[in-house]
Amino acid sequence: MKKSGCKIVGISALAVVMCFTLLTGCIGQELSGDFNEEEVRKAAENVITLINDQDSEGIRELCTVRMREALTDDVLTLIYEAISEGGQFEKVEDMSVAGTTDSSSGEEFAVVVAKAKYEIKTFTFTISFTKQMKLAGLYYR
Amino acid sequence: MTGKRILWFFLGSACFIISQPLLRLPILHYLQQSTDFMLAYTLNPLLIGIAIAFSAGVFEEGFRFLFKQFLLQPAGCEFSQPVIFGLGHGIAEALMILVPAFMVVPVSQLGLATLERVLAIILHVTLTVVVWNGFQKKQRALYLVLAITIHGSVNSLIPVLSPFPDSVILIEGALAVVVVVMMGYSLHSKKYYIPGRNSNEEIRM
Repeated sequence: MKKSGCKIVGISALAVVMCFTLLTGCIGQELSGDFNEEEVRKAAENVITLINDQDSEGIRELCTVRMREALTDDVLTLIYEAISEGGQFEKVEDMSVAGTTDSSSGEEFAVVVAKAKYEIKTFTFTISFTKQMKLAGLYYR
Repeated sequence: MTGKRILWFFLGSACFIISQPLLRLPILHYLQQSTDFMLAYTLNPLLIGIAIAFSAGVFEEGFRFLFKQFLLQPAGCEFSQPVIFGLGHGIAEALMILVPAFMVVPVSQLGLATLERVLAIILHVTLTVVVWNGFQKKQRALYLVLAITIHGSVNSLIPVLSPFPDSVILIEGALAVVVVVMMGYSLHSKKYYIPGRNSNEEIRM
Protein backbone atom coordinates (compact mmCIF):
# COMPACT_ATOMS: atom_id res chain seq x y z
CA MET A 1 0.00 0.00 0.00
CA LYS A 2 1.26 3.44 -0.85
CA LYS A 3 2.14 5.81 2.01
CA SER A 4 -0.65 8.24 1.01
CA GLY A 5 -3.13 5.34 0.93
CA CYS A 6 -2.12 4.34 4.49
CA LYS A 7 -2.58 7.95 5.60
CA ILE A 8 -6.06 8.21 4.11
CA VAL A 9 -7.16 4.85 5.54
CA GLY A 10 -5.84 6.05 8.92
CA ILE A 11 -7.83 9.28 8.60
CA SER A 12 -10.96 7.28 7.69
CA ALA A 13 -10.54 4.97 10.68
CA LEU A 14 -10.05 8.00 12.93
CA ALA A 15 -13.23 9.56 11.50
CA VAL A 16 -15.17 6.38 12.29
CA VAL A 17 -13.83 6.30 15.86
CA MET A 18 -14.61 10.02 16.34
CA CYS A 19 -18.10 9.56 14.94
CA PHE A 20 -18.93 6.79 17.38
CA THR A 21 -17.23 8.51 20.30
CA LEU A 22 -19.59 11.39 19.64
CA LEU A 23 -22.49 8.95 19.46
CA THR A 24 -21.72 7.06 22.62
CA GLY A 25 -21.01 9.72 25.13
CA CYS A 26 -19.93 13.05 26.37
CA ILE A 27 -23.24 14.47 25.22
CA GLY A 28 -25.35 14.11 28.36
CA GLN A 29 -25.27 17.12 30.66
CA GLU A 30 -23.79 16.61 34.12
CA LEU A 31 -26.31 16.15 36.90
CA SER A 32 -26.74 19.45 38.75
CA GLY A 33 -25.39 19.69 42.31
CA ASP A 34 -28.99 19.97 43.51
CA PHE A 35 -29.43 16.26 42.80
CA ASN A 36 -27.88 13.26 44.50
CA GLU A 37 -27.17 10.64 41.82
CA GLU A 38 -27.61 7.71 44.19
CA GLU A 39 -30.95 9.11 45.35
CA VAL A 40 -32.05 9.59 41.73
CA ARG A 41 -31.14 5.98 40.88
CA LYS A 42 -33.07 4.66 43.90
CA ALA A 43 -36.08 6.83 43.04
CA ALA A 44 -36.09 5.46 39.47
CA GLU A 45 -35.92 1.88 40.75
CA ASN A 46 -38.80 2.72 43.09
CA VAL A 47 -40.92 3.97 40.16
CA ILE A 48 -40.29 0.72 38.28
CA THR A 49 -41.24 -1.28 41.41
CA LEU A 50 -44.47 0.71 41.79
CA ILE A 51 -45.34 0.05 38.13
CA ASN A 52 -44.63 -3.66 38.60
CA ASP A 53 -46.84 -3.68 41.70
CA GLN A 54 -49.52 -1.71 39.79
CA ASP A 55 -49.58 0.74 42.70
CA SER A 56 -51.39 3.71 41.13
CA GLU A 57 -51.69 5.66 44.37
CA GLY A 58 -48.00 5.20 45.13
CA ILE A 59 -47.07 6.47 41.67
CA ARG A 60 -49.38 9.51 41.91
CA GLU A 61 -47.94 10.44 45.31
CA LEU A 62 -44.55 10.83 43.62
CA CYS A 63 -45.82 12.91 40.72
CA THR A 64 -45.76 16.60 39.93
CA VAL A 65 -49.23 18.14 39.55
CA ARG A 66 -49.01 17.97 35.75
CA MET A 67 -47.95 14.34 35.76
CA ARG A 68 -50.72 13.46 38.23
CA GLU A 69 -53.25 14.94 35.82
CA ALA A 70 -51.76 13.02 32.91
CA LEU A 71 -51.58 9.65 34.71
CA THR A 72 -55.29 8.90 34.82
CA ASP A 73 -56.58 5.44 35.76
CA ASP A 74 -57.06 4.64 32.06
CA VAL A 75 -53.49 5.63 31.20
CA LEU A 76 -52.06 3.64 34.12
CA THR A 77 -54.16 0.59 33.20
CA LEU A 78 -52.68 0.72 29.68
CA ILE A 79 -49.15 0.97 31.12
CA TYR A 80 -49.74 -2.01 33.46
CA GLU A 81 -51.18 -4.09 30.59
CA ALA A 82 -48.22 -3.33 28.35
CA ILE A 83 -45.65 -4.06 31.07
CA SER A 84 -47.38 -7.27 32.13
CA GLU A 85 -46.92 -8.54 28.56
CA GLY A 86 -43.22 -8.74 29.46
CA GLY A 87 -43.91 -11.40 32.11
CA GLN A 88 -42.33 -11.51 35.56
CA PHE A 89 -39.92 -8.67 36.44
CA GLU A 90 -36.37 -9.94 36.91
CA LYS A 91 -33.97 -7.01 37.41
CA VAL A 92 -32.80 -3.57 36.35
CA GLU A 93 -29.92 -4.43 34.02
CA ASP A 94 -28.45 -1.02 33.33
CA MET A 95 -29.10 2.58 34.28
CA SER A 96 -27.73 5.97 33.12
CA VAL A 97 -28.35 9.33 34.75
CA ALA A 98 -27.89 12.87 33.42
CA GLY A 99 -29.23 16.35 33.95
CA THR A 100 -31.18 18.57 31.60
CA THR A 101 -32.69 22.04 31.69
CA ASP A 102 -36.06 22.94 30.23
CA SER A 103 -35.26 25.70 27.74
CA SER A 104 -38.56 27.55 28.26
CA SER A 105 -38.88 27.42 32.07
CA GLY A 106 -35.19 27.09 32.99
CA GLU A 107 -36.13 24.28 35.39
CA GLU A 108 -33.53 21.56 35.92
CA PHE A 109 -34.39 17.88 35.81
CA ALA A 110 -32.61 14.60 36.45
CA VAL A 111 -33.22 12.11 33.64
CA VAL A 112 -32.77 8.37 34.08
CA VAL A 113 -32.75 5.72 31.36
CA ALA A 114 -33.14 2.25 32.86
CA LYS A 115 -33.20 -1.12 31.13
CA ALA A 116 -35.50 -3.45 33.04
CA LYS A 117 -35.37 -7.16 32.24
CA TYR A 118 -38.61 -9.09 32.41
CA GLU A 119 -39.20 -12.80 31.84
CA ILE A 120 -40.22 -12.35 28.17
CA LYS A 121 -38.74 -9.02 27.10
CA THR A 122 -36.73 -6.03 28.20
CA PHE A 123 -38.31 -2.59 28.64
CA THR A 124 -36.41 0.68 28.60
CA PHE A 125 -37.83 3.30 30.94
CA THR A 126 -37.03 7.00 30.67
CA ILE A 127 -37.89 8.66 33.97
CA SER A 128 -37.36 12.29 34.97
CA PHE A 129 -37.43 14.01 38.33
CA THR A 130 -37.62 17.60 39.50
CA LYS A 131 -35.20 18.99 42.11
CA GLN A 132 -37.82 18.10 44.74
CA MET A 133 -37.58 14.51 43.46
CA LYS A 134 -41.09 14.64 42.04
CA LEU A 135 -41.79 12.36 39.09
CA ALA A 136 -41.98 14.73 36.10
CA GLY A 137 -41.79 12.32 33.17
CA LEU A 138 -42.32 8.63 32.46
CA TYR A 139 -41.80 6.90 29.14
CA TYR A 140 -41.25 3.26 28.32
CA ARG A 141 -40.61 1.18 25.23
CA MET B 1 -22.25 -5.16 -20.67
CA THR B 2 -18.77 -6.67 -20.43
CA GLY B 3 -17.66 -8.93 -17.58
CA LYS B 4 -15.55 -6.09 -16.22
CA ARG B 5 -18.58 -3.84 -15.96
CA ILE B 6 -20.68 -6.56 -14.35
CA LEU B 7 -17.92 -6.94 -11.77
CA TRP B 8 -17.96 -3.18 -11.06
CA PHE B 9 -21.70 -3.43 -10.44
CA PHE B 10 -21.31 -6.32 -8.00
CA LEU B 11 -18.39 -4.63 -6.26
CA GLY B 12 -20.69 -1.63 -5.72
CA SER B 13 -23.32 -3.93 -4.20
CA ALA B 14 -20.68 -5.64 -2.04
CA CYS B 15 -19.47 -2.21 -0.87
CA PHE B 16 -22.98 -1.38 0.39
CA ILE B 17 -23.48 -4.79 2.02
CA ILE B 18 -20.15 -4.60 3.88
CA SER B 19 -20.44 -0.97 4.94
CA GLN B 20 -24.07 -1.04 6.08
CA PRO B 21 -25.69 -4.41 6.96
CA LEU B 22 -22.41 -6.06 7.98
CA LEU B 23 -20.76 -3.19 9.85
CA ARG B 24 -22.63 0.05 10.56
CA LEU B 25 -26.07 -1.36 11.35
CA PRO B 26 -24.80 -3.96 13.88
CA ILE B 27 -22.70 -1.23 15.56
CA LEU B 28 -25.75 1.07 15.73
CA HIS B 29 -27.88 -1.80 17.06
CA TYR B 30 -25.25 -2.45 19.74
CA LEU B 31 -25.18 1.24 20.69
CA GLN B 32 -28.98 1.35 20.91
CA GLN B 33 -28.83 -1.31 23.62
CA SER B 34 -26.76 1.02 25.79
CA THR B 35 -28.58 3.26 28.29
CA ASP B 36 -25.83 5.90 27.87
CA PHE B 37 -26.65 6.14 24.16
CA MET B 38 -30.40 6.21 24.78
CA LEU B 39 -29.99 8.91 27.41
CA ALA B 40 -27.85 10.98 25.04
CA TYR B 41 -30.47 10.50 22.29
CA THR B 42 -33.29 11.50 24.67
CA LEU B 43 -31.48 14.68 25.71
CA ASN B 44 -30.01 15.61 22.31
CA PRO B 45 -32.17 14.03 19.59
CA LEU B 46 -31.08 16.48 16.88
CA LEU B 47 -27.34 16.23 17.57
CA ILE B 48 -27.41 12.44 17.85
CA GLY B 49 -29.63 12.23 14.75
CA ILE B 50 -27.07 14.24 12.79
CA ALA B 51 -24.20 12.11 14.15
CA ILE B 52 -26.04 8.94 13.04
CA ALA B 53 -26.62 10.55 9.63
CA PHE B 54 -22.90 11.35 9.29
CA SER B 55 -21.92 7.84 10.39
CA ALA B 56 -23.64 6.55 7.22
CA GLY B 57 -21.48 8.93 5.19
CA VAL B 58 -18.30 7.82 6.96
CA PHE B 59 -19.01 4.12 6.42
CA GLU B 60 -20.39 4.20 2.88
CA GLU B 61 -17.98 6.76 1.46
CA GLY B 62 -15.07 5.25 3.42
CA PHE B 63 -15.74 1.84 1.90
CA ARG B 64 -16.27 3.28 -1.58
CA PHE B 65 -12.84 4.85 -1.17
CA LEU B 66 -11.26 1.58 0.03
CA PHE B 67 -12.81 -0.38 -2.85
CA LYS B 68 -11.43 2.09 -5.37
CA GLN B 69 -8.05 2.20 -3.61
CA PHE B 70 -7.52 -1.55 -3.44
CA LEU B 71 -9.85 -3.32 -5.87
CA LEU B 72 -10.38 -0.94 -8.77
CA GLN B 73 -6.92 0.11 -9.85
CA PRO B 74 -5.47 1.98 -11.62
CA ALA B 75 -6.71 5.33 -10.30
CA GLY B 76 -7.34 6.72 -13.78
CA CYS B 77 -10.42 5.13 -15.34
CA GLU B 78 -13.36 5.78 -17.61
CA PHE B 79 -16.43 7.62 -16.36
CA SER B 80 -18.62 4.51 -16.57
CA GLN B 81 -16.70 2.92 -13.67
CA PRO B 82 -18.05 5.16 -10.85
CA VAL B 83 -21.47 5.24 -12.52
CA ILE B 84 -21.80 1.43 -12.63
CA PHE B 85 -20.24 1.00 -9.16
CA GLY B 86 -22.67 3.61 -7.75
CA LEU B 87 -25.60 1.87 -9.44
CA GLY B 88 -24.60 -1.41 -7.80
CA HIS B 89 -24.35 0.33 -4.42
CA GLY B 90 -27.65 2.20 -4.75
CA ILE B 91 -29.64 -0.71 -6.16
CA ALA B 92 -28.43 -3.05 -3.38
CA GLU B 93 -29.63 -0.50 -0.82
CA ALA B 94 -32.96 -0.02 -2.62
CA LEU B 95 -33.56 -3.78 -2.69
CA MET B 96 -32.77 -4.07 1.01
CA ILE B 97 -35.27 -1.32 1.86
CA LEU B 98 -38.02 -1.89 -0.71
CA VAL B 99 -38.29 -5.69 -0.92
CA PRO B 100 -39.51 -6.10 2.70
CA ALA B 101 -41.90 -3.15 2.16
CA PHE B 102 -43.31 -4.64 -1.07
CA MET B 103 -44.07 -7.84 0.85
CA VAL B 104 -46.44 -6.08 3.25
CA VAL B 105 -47.70 -3.01 1.34
CA PRO B 106 -49.16 -2.96 -2.21
CA VAL B 107 -46.78 -1.50 -4.81
CA SER B 108 -49.37 1.20 -5.63
CA GLN B 109 -49.02 2.62 -2.10
CA LEU B 110 -45.26 2.83 -2.26
CA GLY B 111 -45.04 5.54 -4.93
CA LEU B 112 -43.19 8.09 -2.80
CA ALA B 113 -40.88 5.44 -1.33
CA THR B 114 -40.02 4.22 -4.83
CA LEU B 115 -39.37 7.78 -6.02
CA GLU B 116 -37.15 8.38 -2.99
CA ARG B 117 -35.16 5.24 -3.77
CA VAL B 118 -34.70 6.31 -7.40
CA LEU B 119 -33.34 9.66 -6.14
CA ALA B 120 -31.14 7.81 -3.62
CA ILE B 121 -29.70 5.56 -6.37
CA ILE B 122 -28.83 8.64 -8.46
CA LEU B 123 -27.27 10.25 -5.36
CA HIS B 124 -25.15 7.12 -4.78
CA VAL B 125 -23.93 7.29 -8.38
CA THR B 126 -22.98 10.95 -8.01
CA LEU B 127 -21.29 10.41 -4.61
CA THR B 128 -19.24 7.63 -6.18
CA VAL B 129 -18.21 10.12 -8.86
CA VAL B 130 -17.09 12.53 -6.09
CA VAL B 131 -14.91 9.84 -4.44
CA TRP B 132 -13.52 8.76 -7.83
CA ASN B 133 -12.79 12.39 -8.76
CA GLY B 134 -10.28 12.46 -5.91
CA PHE B 135 -8.38 9.64 -7.62
CA GLN B 136 -8.53 11.38 -10.99
CA LYS B 137 -7.35 14.71 -9.55
CA LYS B 138 -4.87 13.21 -7.05
CA GLN B 139 -6.64 14.81 -4.10
CA ARG B 140 -8.08 11.64 -2.58
CA ALA B 141 -8.50 12.74 1.05
CA LEU B 142 -10.14 16.05 0.06
CA TYR B 143 -12.76 14.39 -2.14
CA LEU B 144 -13.39 11.64 0.43
CA VAL B 145 -14.13 14.30 3.06
CA LEU B 146 -16.31 16.14 0.53
CA ALA B 147 -18.33 12.98 -0.22
CA ILE B 148 -18.75 12.23 3.51
CA THR B 149 -19.92 15.81 4.11
CA ILE B 150 -22.45 15.73 1.26
CA HIS B 151 -23.73 12.27 2.28
CA GLY B 152 -23.97 13.21 5.96
CA SER B 153 -25.69 16.52 5.17
CA VAL B 154 -28.29 14.87 2.93
CA ASN B 155 -29.03 12.22 5.58
CA SER B 156 -29.24 14.98 8.20
CA LEU B 157 -32.24 16.39 6.36
CA ILE B 158 -34.33 13.74 8.15
CA PRO B 159 -33.61 14.76 11.78
CA VAL B 160 -33.44 18.46 10.89
CA LEU B 161 -36.67 18.69 8.85
CA SER B 162 -38.77 16.03 10.61
CA PRO B 163 -40.22 18.42 13.25
CA PHE B 164 -41.72 20.67 10.53
CA PRO B 165 -45.24 20.19 9.16
CA ASP B 166 -45.24 18.47 5.74
CA SER B 167 -41.75 17.23 6.56
CA VAL B 168 -41.94 14.35 4.05
CA ILE B 169 -42.47 16.76 1.15
CA LEU B 170 -39.72 19.05 2.49
CA ILE B 171 -37.24 16.18 2.83
CA GLU B 172 -38.00 14.65 -0.57
CA GLY B 173 -37.98 18.09 -2.21
CA ALA B 174 -34.61 18.96 -0.70
CA LEU B 175 -33.27 15.53 -1.76
CA ALA B 176 -34.46 16.14 -5.32
CA VAL B 177 -32.70 19.55 -5.42
CA VAL B 178 -29.44 18.02 -4.13
CA VAL B 179 -29.69 15.20 -6.68
CA VAL B 180 -30.16 17.65 -9.58
CA VAL B 181 -27.13 19.72 -8.43
CA MET B 182 -25.03 16.57 -7.98
CA MET B 183 -26.00 15.29 -11.44
CA GLY B 184 -24.84 18.58 -12.94
CA TYR B 185 -21.58 18.32 -11.01
CA SER B 186 -21.07 14.70 -12.11
CA LEU B 187 -21.60 15.51 -15.77
CA HIS B 188 -19.17 18.40 -15.40
CA SER B 189 -16.63 15.95 -13.88
CA LYS B 190 -16.70 13.70 -16.94
CA LYS B 191 -13.72 15.60 -18.34
CA TYR B 192 -11.45 14.21 -15.58
CA TYR B 193 -11.89 10.66 -16.86
CA ILE B 194 -10.31 8.65 -19.63
CA PRO B 195 -12.62 8.80 -22.64
CA GLY B 196 -14.18 5.48 -23.73
CA ARG B 197 -12.63 2.15 -22.90
CA ASN B 198 -9.12 1.96 -21.57
CA SER B 199 -7.32 -1.27 -22.31
CA ASN B 200 -4.87 -0.68 -19.47
CA GLU B 201 -7.57 -0.90 -16.82
CA GLU B 202 -7.49 -3.95 -14.67
CA ILE B 203 -9.37 -5.17 -11.66
CA ARG B 204 -7.36 -6.58 -8.84
CA MET B 205 -9.23 -8.89 -6.49
